[in-house]
Amino acid sequence: MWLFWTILVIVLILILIYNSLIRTRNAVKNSWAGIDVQLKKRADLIPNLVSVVQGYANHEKTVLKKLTKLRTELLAAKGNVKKAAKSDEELSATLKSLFAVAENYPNLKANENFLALQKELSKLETQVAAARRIYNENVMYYNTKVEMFPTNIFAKLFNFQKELFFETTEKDPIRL
Amino acid sequence: MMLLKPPQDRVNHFKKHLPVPKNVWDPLNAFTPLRIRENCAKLEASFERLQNDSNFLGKFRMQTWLFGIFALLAGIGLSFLFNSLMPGIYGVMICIGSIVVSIIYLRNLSKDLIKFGIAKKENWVYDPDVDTMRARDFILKFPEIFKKGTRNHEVEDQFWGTYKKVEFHSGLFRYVIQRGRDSTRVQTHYYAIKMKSPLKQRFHLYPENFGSKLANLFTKKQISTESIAFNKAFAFSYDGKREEKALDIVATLTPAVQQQLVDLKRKKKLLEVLFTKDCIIFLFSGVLLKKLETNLAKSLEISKNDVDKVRDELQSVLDVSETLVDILS
Repeated sequence: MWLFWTILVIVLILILIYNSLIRTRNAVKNSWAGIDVQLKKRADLIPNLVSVVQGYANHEKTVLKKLTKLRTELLAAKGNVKKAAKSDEELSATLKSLFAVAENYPNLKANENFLALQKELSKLETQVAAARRIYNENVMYYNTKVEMFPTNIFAKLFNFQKELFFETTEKDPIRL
Repeated sequence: MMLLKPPQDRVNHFKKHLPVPKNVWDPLNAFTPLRIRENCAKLEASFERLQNDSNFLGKFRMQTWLFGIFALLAGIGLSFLFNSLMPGIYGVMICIGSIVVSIIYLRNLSKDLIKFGIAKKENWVYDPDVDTMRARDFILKFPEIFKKGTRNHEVEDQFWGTYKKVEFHSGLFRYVIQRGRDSTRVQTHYYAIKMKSPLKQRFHLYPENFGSKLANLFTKKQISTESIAFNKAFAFSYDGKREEKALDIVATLTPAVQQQLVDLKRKKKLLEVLFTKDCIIFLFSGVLLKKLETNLAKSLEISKNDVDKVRDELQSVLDVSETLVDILS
């Protein structure tokens, strides 16, 4: 009888370990989707921003072109953490330089659409930074599980791979 | 105890000079400016008496000690007279009680003066008085967060003000939990933050534990967000069905909001958060200032460290609140 109970307890523990790995991996996927949503929201604002700035600062074509190119790259990087992180960082930096350049155009700075876009982008920058932190925390939690005994045995057995961090040099949201 | 009351003429004097607080946001819509001015005037008059009458503390201490010793002697005498231990025990209790009263009086006065000083500097309103009516109103209006304990609900040390364009109200909330013959006094402090734009759903976050997990199995109210840390830290409660509410709640709990709440919970003993249509209320364990460096019995100087500690405590939550209001507006 005791053998039956011992086997039952072991089986239950194994089920719990397996389920916790699945749950954590899904949480990582879910938080990646969270980043994706925020990045897409921000990317959607770029064409509006470009058209508003073009009307006032046609001389800044290089920055605007770069912005459009980065937006396309970011949207194309779907699911690729490394590529998305690189494009996101560059896009944030380019946006920052664009808003710095806008200081030289008083009419642009006074434009209501431009101000509204700047505010919205600034808010999204905060959301992206937070989503990034959540994703990285989840990845750390998941990777620890994948590496730690006894979950690492299951991870190897059922091919649970370590996930990549969304690495950027900026820890805090860039102030736009 | 008449000695503890500040002279009425000085209270009236301060009342005349203190402005009546106006345009103050209160989550209960029950702000009583005249009563608060009266309480602040009493506090000013009490401190003035300490400053002007150098013998006051000596007289006060002498009176309480004499009263205590008299009670002790009377108790011992009665014990011998009636050949019973009880009067002696009562005598000892009254003796200790009178000394405790004098210590508590000075401690509370110090705390009130520290907070009143901060309120004056920041242009906030401060009410040092204990208020049971407001505690009852809080329980009625926000039962999710304030309906706790069994008796003696009271609110004290309340602030009203604006911090970085965010209107807030904060205070201490106390209650007693009675279990059979045992009673426990619980002290918490809360912050209510006015939202700039209304929130769609009213919901309550409380600490996730085994009990809440079990309850959620039956009520099916738990909502999973993308953050593992957030899901481990908080359980949800709200009226209505999950299918009807989850979308709006998740829309409120954006990544930035989740991250702010998780960070706040890591930094402080955050017990609960209530999101209502027009405000967010945070409830924390304990009081704003536990150990006091200020000792009015020794010196009438208010310790700068005490002031900094209270201000830092307040600002740490208000900074998060400001970010949250900004994100959610």
